[in-house]
Amino acid sequence: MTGAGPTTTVLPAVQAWSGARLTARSMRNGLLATAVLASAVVVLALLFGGVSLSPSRIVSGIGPDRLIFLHVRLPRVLLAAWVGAALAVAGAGLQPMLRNPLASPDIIGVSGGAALAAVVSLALLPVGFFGEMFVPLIAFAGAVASSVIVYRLSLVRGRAEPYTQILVGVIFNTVAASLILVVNAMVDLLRSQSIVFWLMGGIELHSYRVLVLVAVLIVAGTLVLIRESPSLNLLALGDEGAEQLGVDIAASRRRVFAASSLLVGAAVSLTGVITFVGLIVPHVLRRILGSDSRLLVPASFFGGAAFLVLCDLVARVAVAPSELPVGAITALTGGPFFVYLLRRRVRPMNESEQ
Amino acid sequence: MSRRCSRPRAGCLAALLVICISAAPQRCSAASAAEAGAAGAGVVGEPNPSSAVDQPAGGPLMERKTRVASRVVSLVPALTETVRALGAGDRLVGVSDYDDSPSQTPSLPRVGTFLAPVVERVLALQPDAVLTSPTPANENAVRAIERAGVRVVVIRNEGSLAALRRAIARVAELLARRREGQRLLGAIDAQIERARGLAKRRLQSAGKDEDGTDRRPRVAVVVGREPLVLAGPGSYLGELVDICGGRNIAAAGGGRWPHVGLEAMLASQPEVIVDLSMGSERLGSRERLRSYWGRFPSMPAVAHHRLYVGAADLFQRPGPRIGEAALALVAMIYPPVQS
Repeated sequence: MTGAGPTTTVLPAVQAWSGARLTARSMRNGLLATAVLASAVVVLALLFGGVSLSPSRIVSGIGPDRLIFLHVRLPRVLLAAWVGAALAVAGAGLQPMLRNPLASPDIIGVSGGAALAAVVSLALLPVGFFGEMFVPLIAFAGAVASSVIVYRLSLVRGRAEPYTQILVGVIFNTVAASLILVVNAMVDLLRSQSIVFWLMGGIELHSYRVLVLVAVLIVAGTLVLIRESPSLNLLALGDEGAEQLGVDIAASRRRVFAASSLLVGAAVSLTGVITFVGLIVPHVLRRILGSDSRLLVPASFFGGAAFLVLCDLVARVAVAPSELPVGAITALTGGPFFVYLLRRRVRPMNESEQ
Repeated sequence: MSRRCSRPRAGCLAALLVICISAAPQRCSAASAAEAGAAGAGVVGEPNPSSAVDQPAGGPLMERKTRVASRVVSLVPALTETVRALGAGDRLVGVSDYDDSPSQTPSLPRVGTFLAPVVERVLALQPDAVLTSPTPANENAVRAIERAGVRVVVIRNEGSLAALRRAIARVAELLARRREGQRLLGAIDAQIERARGLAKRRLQSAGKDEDGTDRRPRVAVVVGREPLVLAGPGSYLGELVDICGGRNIAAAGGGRWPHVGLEAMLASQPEVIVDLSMGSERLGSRERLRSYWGRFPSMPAVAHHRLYVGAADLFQRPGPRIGEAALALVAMIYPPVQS
């Protein structure tokens, strides 16, 4: 087993909790726990909402309950689960690859590119022109294009350096955000309104066809990252260490970057930019389960799904009959919880290291 | 990144309230835009074919065309007002969060806004028609409601008076209240003509027009302030300014709701400002608006106390009260002469 043991060369924030070796048993328990958690949250989110549905009437089909369940509640919960899973898995892949605790799907430029593409199409094309898949497809194309651009720009002597990658990603995002502001200032109010709503991000309702499509992309991206997870452990050690241990760094990094871009692109193209999930979920799970990517990547899949479904549930019921933007809930609930975990564990960590 | 946009967002949302209200011709669904465009106006109001879930067997098309809405959810205040003005208020089963006129609204369930309808609540009311304005922000929700088999009548928010007339006619048809619709349109026309006549007389009595200079007062209708958004000439408010004998300082060509720089606004020296950027209901909002514009005492509108801030509701809802709005506007541009 090539578990990431405690080493002196690693960034503490990424590697601090790798103390315990990952055994088959702890792997199984970790996965089981997160999967059970995700299932429980999904069931909860299906049962509760702005309108109370009775399970017996959903089954019997009396009244509007079944209609609401099938056409509103279920697709929304499923989308929240897929998107949460995608963002968290991407974060779990990017953090060790970039060896940076702040790495998150928002930082590699992909979401900025997706948003810019969507906004430009919203600004230029007639209102009401779009079919269901139009803006999502444009956004996805923008995500793919920007990931290629960011990757190309961050090559130094043919190699993708983590620091360059992060800097290029951040700069790319900033430029995209500024361009969005420019576009937004130039268009008239009706268009500006649709742009703003796209940027705010939210779990919208989509048909099952779209949900299946996005599920395929997300499962594919997740499988790639699960396959890369042993290399991720080594990449977190630093390039030299990883190379000495036989990782083809460039290839591995390319695959992780591509898979993460795919995940983020698939997610943001349907929901707009939802921040924080990809940052917080891997960190929280790392603090609970340890930092071995072989467990962390699949666990983030379930953890991310549980987190976003839960946030969306809160968004739906907190101010019923209205709804809150889910992005606000992810930051409001995830932020304090994360700080709590950080504070609680910081002291023993420092002590043990000295 | 989305954080960065928060300031313009607030402005946009405020300004949006204006448009939200605007209502005009129709098209059944955002989803079937292409079909509607191809087949022409005849299919207006036709539901998405996929929505024929609980259609009775036999001639569903005919069925749909003649079906009269009896349980209506309105996501737009202007459309709610239209339904009531047509004498069909009792068929409303749900309204939007923006529907706030307490005199009219018996406590009907609120189902979100046309920008963000809460689909679960809409469906829970088991409506047979949902009225809304089109915006990319609600396209997914509209599709979801249609997938659940409920007819959504999307009344396009193009903002012109002609569009508003078509909207009223369309709602009347949906409710099988054509005669009431004609009567309402007639009443609106009469009020608008009265406003036009009043403006014309006042302009003529001002006299001394031989040199051909445009003596109409320069008018700015502000729908949002941060960023500054005006009612352009192509919008229904712009049309009202024209009818009421005002000269809109928002130039043609900037779209219906153009963003305008504050400098450009000051340079154009508006003599009348109608500020709709904060609803009229909230306490203190009038004073805030007054002090906002009060910073520019040299602007003719401020210097001559021609700043109007209290009528947002009336102007922001292009519905049955549009004629009333025209009469109110003409009184702002040409205040009654005190004898």
